[in-house]
Amino acid sequence: MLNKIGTLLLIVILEMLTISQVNAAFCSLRDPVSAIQMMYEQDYEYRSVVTSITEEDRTSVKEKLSFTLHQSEVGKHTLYVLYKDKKHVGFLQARSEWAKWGLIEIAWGINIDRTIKGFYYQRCRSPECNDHTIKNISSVLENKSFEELQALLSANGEELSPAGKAAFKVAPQLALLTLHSALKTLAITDISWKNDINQIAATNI
Amino acid sequence: MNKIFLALLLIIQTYLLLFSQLSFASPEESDFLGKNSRWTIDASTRLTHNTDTNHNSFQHVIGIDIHKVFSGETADIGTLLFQPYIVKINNNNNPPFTFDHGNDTQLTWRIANFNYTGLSQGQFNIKVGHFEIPYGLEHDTDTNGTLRQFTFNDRGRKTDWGVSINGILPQFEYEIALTRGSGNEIKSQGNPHVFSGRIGTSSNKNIVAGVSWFTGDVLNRNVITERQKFGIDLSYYYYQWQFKAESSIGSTAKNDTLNALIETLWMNPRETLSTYVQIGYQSTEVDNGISNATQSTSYWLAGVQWVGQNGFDISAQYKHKLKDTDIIEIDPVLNIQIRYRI
Repeated sequence: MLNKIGTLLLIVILEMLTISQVNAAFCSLRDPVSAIQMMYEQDYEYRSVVTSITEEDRTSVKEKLSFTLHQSEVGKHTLYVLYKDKKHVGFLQARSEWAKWGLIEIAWGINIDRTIKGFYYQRCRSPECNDHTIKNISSVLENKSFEELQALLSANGEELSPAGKAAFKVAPQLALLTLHSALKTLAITDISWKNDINQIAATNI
Repeated sequence: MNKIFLALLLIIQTYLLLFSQLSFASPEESDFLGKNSRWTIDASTRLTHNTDTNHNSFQHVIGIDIHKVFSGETADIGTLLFQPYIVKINNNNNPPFTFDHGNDTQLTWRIANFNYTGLSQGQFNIKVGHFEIPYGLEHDTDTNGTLRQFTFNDRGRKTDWGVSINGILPQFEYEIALTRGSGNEIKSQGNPHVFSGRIGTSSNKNIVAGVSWFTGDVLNRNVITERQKFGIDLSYYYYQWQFKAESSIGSTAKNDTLNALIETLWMNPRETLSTYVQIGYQSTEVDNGISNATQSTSYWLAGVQWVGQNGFDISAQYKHKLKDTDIIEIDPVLNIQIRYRI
């Protein structure tokens, strides 16, 4: 019996190495309602815009940054478009980042001019992700543009720049991961949702 | 046995060949269901092996998983989840009541509902259809089609047809449901019904607590069983570790029950490999309290799941009794499942 099970597993493992697909569990998909409530408070509405992030999009991010999205992030993702009094006021997007202990999921509030409005750890299994740390990191990132955020990173993107080290006194490793996520989110938003954003901008005049 | 083994191999080969040929029409690129939609094919094969009797049974599943968000000009209206599955069981000595016999094939519904979210931006939604009954640890953890489960056996029902109100508020999350009590199919025989709910703290945090209730008459085959359960659950996440516990008091067919489960789970940093251990305990009155006699059972189980980047997941789980009784026997069971989502 065990031999048969072993053979079965071996065949499956060999075969699956030849096929490239992605998996996802749709019943576990949830809107970032808590993040929207934290960042946008009351009287806001949101609508979903689902698009496919492709391999080409990953390459395009790599051209803007020295790092890019993980392979597992290729696939369908949602950009939440925020409205107040029927007028477009911003975006929200959740992205994942790999920490040494596992996945961190961060929801990013983005202003119309593509500066950072704020962020919310939807999932961070480190005790470091507490209110004090969030407040500290948030105070640095809020209202910063893509270029201003890039200035907080070293040239190779693997560590904080001197300006970044000075800014992030608390939990610098977590701040580095969060900064990576912010830059990737801003980059991929403009790349993968370009047409949708142009359409929204045209109707918001 | 050899025939079953060869049949299993054949099914897996078919999955692999069929889905690899279909890859040109990947669901990730296809929008045939319109804007804001996702869909995937979900197939799995599960072996259940009783290590005492060497009896093997199989469950082969193939279905489609559809997720679509309907939106207005400035706000989402609602989310459709639609998961019909064809399930074939083989050589099963104790088939679930959805099946007529141990070698049956049935259309089953995992999730099939519409959640109307257009009222207050996720704070107050109305869900109609077939959904997971809101209760305990199961409410915040994806156990859809996995070997890893929690305590739904104590309630006799994991999913049901009905209506719920649900939402997320800044300090807590809730779902309260009224369902038919008949499970996969909508049946009115004996007027079954279940009133259930869970109110918990934010599931985004590293400490999550909730209270749940489940009360009603549950239909199993042609028998109605009255069940009342009141439970608490607690989850704690610490780096790669998860610690979960759930306990309930209540009654089944007017016999008082006490149920408890604890679980420790560890996953590797890439979250492709997870392993867990559970210990479960249940105490039940024997004769509605006439003799004050109770019988208690307990078990341990250990499981492992490997999730590949290519849509595959392979999992195994072994369950063994710590204590059972003449009336409630706990067989030592090994489960192995191979699952593929295109």
